[in-house]
Amino acid sequence: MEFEINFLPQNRNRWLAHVKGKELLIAGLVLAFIITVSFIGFYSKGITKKPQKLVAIGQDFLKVSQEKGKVSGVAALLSKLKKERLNWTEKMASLSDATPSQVFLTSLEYSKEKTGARGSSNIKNREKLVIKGVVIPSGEESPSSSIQSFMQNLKNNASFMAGFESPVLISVNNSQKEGQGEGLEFEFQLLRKQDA
Amino acid sequence: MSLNFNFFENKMHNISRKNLIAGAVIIFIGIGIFFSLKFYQTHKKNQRDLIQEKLTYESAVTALAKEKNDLTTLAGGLGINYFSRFPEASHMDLSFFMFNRISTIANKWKVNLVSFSPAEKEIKGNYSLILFSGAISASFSDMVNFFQELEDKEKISIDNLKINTSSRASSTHQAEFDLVCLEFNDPMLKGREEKESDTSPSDKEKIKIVKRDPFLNPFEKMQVARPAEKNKAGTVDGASEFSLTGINCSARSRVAIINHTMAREGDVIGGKQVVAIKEDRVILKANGQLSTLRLKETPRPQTKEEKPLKTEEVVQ
Repeated sequence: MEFEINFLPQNRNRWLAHVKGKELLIAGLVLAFIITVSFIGFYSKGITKKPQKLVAIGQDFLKVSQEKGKVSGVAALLSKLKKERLNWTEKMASLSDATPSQVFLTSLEYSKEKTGARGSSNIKNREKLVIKGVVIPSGEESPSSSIQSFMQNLKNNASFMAGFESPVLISVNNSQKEGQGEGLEFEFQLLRKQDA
Repeated sequence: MSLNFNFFENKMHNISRKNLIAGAVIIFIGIGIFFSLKFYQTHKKNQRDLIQEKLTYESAVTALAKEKNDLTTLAGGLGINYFSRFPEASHMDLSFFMFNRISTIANKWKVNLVSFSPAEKEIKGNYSLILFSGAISASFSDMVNFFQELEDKEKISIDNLKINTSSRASSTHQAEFDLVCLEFNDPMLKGREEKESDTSPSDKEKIKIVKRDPFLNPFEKMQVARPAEKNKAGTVDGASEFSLTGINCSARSRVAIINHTMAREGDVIGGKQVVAIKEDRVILKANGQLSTLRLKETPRPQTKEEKPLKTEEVVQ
């Protein structure tokens, strides 16, 4: 048994023999088509690909973003340090304004103290401002009212209170020193804000 | 048995040549249009992307410039790298340099610098804290102006402040404080420190006026009257009743601190007119008689033995 497989047109020779101008035109068109497609294929890479300028800008942008990130990090650190800083000039001027006439201060102390149980890992430095003073009784106002009004004045003074929690009264004692008359000694403290 | 795979033989003959040409042309034009559109779209998209990227890039550059500018302002406000501001500091021991600096400010405000401790360095990540401790004695008003100059002009942070008054009647108080200078090793912050010339003239002339000394007993003050109160009471007799604690002479104005009150030429203090403000004295006039008020001498401050800490060490 014998099989013959023929893929070629059997009458090829006959068809080619009749090739004329129009057939040549077809062949030319097909050729032009192939050339055009190849041309498009070749140049399409250049067109569809991101332009070099765009890529360069993208890289520059990345560098700028990285630098901005670094600058922001340093700026955040400086902002934190600035926030931690207290302006004592403003606070002292505010203290002068807020002190009632019959009150005078004997001491002002701003220091850090350790809070938390001994041996525990939760020990923190808590800053506080301790103000001690004396109220001299006068006819106008009771000494305790003077202390209250002093504390209230401070509480209402934004520049003094910046970075501090509300004042807390620690102690009030009657005092009478020789040659200095009667007075009411007081002590209150202002804790530094935790987020400050 | 024979198998023939013949696909073209007859079909090719059946297709008319005109149709073939038309089909090829249509396909060719179609593909051309398709690719042209596609390329046009891609080109347009690239153009848009380029403009967008440029805008994003430019805004990022602007944001970076703003951030850097803010950083400079922030760094200047914090007074970072304090010692880099002064070229002479690089050749000196830091504690000695700082003592000279603080001493000059103290003298300016008639503040008595009682003690000044040498520098201690505390390293925290990419920055260091240079700590100094000092003690002064002065009136409340002078103390405020002294601290103001440290904080606003020198941009030095004041920490652990303690103010005590020696007696109820005394207008002189003691203050103990820590001064903190920030030194950054970050190259980004190099050159961002505030220069001496950056300080505006208005900052140099700023004088803080406090209404009252909160550490002074108001009732004791009546008994042991200070010159200012005596003047108010109309008992002025001679220039010795006045205290001249500061003179600030600049090209624009001359200001003297007389009895803890700021006075300019022509002002009347305690019944006396300020005729002239010189560098070291003030001339007053009352009832046609002139009197001179001189600046009081401030005692030279005492210092503890200083530890050597050079600028190079700080920079490292």
